[in-house]
Amino acid sequence: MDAKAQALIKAYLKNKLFLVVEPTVAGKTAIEKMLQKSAVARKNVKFSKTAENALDIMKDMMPNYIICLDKLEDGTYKEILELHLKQHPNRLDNGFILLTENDSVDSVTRLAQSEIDAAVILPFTVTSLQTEFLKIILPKSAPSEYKVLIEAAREHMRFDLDKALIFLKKAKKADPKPFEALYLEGMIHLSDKALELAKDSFEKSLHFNPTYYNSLKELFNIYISLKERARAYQISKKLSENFPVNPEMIPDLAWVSVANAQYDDILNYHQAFKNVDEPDRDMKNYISASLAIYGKKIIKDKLEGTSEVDDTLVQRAFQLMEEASVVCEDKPLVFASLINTLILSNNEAITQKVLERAKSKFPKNKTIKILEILADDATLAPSQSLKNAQDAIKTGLKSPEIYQIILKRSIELGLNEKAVNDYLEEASQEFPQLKPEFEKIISG
Amino acid sequence: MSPDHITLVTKNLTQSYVIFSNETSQSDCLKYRDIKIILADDQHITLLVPPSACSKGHHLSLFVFKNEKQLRVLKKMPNDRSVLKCMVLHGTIEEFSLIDEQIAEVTLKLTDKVMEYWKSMIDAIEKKQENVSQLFAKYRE
Repeated sequence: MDAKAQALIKAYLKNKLFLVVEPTVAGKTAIEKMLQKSAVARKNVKFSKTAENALDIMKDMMPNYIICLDKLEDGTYKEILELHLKQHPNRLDNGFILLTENDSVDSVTRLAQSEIDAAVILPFTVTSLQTEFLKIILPKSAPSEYKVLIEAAREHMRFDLDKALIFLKKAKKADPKPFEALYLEGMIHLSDKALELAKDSFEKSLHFNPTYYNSLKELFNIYISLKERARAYQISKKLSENFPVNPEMIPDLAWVSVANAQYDDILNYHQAFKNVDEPDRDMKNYISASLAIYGKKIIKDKLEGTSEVDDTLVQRAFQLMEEASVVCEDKPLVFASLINTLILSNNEAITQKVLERAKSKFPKNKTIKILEILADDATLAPSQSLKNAQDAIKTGLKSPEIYQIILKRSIELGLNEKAVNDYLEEASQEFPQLKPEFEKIISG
Repeated sequence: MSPDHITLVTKNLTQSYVIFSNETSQSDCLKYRDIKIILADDQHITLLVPPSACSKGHHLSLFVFKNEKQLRVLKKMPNDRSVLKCMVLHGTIEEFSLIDEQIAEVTLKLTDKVMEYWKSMIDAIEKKQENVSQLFAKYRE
């Protein structure tokens, strides 16, 4: 670091107050050592081992910077951060450094989208801590006019949106590529529910910085809600090519890919999933949901004959749907979607395999039980299927599909008119809006 | 988009896992989930450990693993500890302080270490921080 930067930092830190919230002696000592090396006066630093004590100290001290462990014996850093943001909404003279052992991509990407300045990973060395500290304070010690305006806008976004917009208007003129100002402008429009204006701001933001995550994420959500599938797909490509993909976004990304006939994307998400060492439950559920979306689209296209779906594609869809049933941990709706699709496809072997898995995972799930009766209807003798459906109704498992089976099979087996009419009446009472459909079955 | 471009966000950590033998009390602590390295410098390493496992002045052998797979199935310390696929550090507890009933903080002065390994461990800590910092910045630039 050159002498000029050192002088700037020294001047910047001269009257800054620090609070260190860290229960260990060694951690406290290391942070103290780092602050001393960075020319912070000892008298300007206070220490706390607990969240409660930290909050007490903050009321009088109003520290500019807080270095805080994420998990404390009496709480987490969140309450401390919240009070700090209230005390100092403008972050140019203030900051928050979080100490955490969680270096997972999930945690780091979430923290990166929060209002903390940096995450320092445990274990740390005094050098790694100081490097992070300098990365934060160096740009704050000599901010550009643009940064000052952006920070003023952020500050006012908490309580005075009109004033925030005035700062952003100035900020847009203060920098040749004001992508952050446009993003913040978009967020203000979003909070006003002005979707078109927000869209315009985010699009302009991306014009200046095509890979700015915040604008990509917001614009993707807007395109999804406006059903602008082609545009949503272009954004989803940029997101997944430039950033780690959050599993909870995969079903949406899969939906967009399928809507744009980019089926291989789902296989690529699946491949990326297979490369993950010990994926967690959520990730398994999201991947299986995307495979179910894929299978449903291919089978639907095949049945409707609306697009060129050859046998290879169909076989792969079956294979992936079966895999989805293996991967899926605890989402009966994913199973329901898979089974529904498989029933339509008439692939009895895979339908039964998936159904068995669903039954063993969710033995009491009503939807799965109904789907079992529907799947069995295709293979059982009409009398057995009718009995299954009648038993289901007796146990309170009532659904339009089950009444449809009862009516169809009753007619097929030539049951007397009174029995059929009794079922029609019962079905129409349970599901009055479907009465015409039930009547249609009887009239043949 | 090609599969090479896709990385999924995972909750997996890249931390090291530690168990130790207390050579002074002739006992072992295999509770790797309760042992955490929190700080390292040229001569010292600071860990959080179960309080009953050691005291000030005790000499410890630390076994540092890159992942927990081996530890999940380890029921007791093997007689021949060289079968453990890990790095070993030796040190004496210089500082011992109780954080609460379940956690004590110990700082060991390292008495015997493979310098190359120790340097690589320090480098790995700083590299990991750098990677986190870069990922953090990517979301804000």
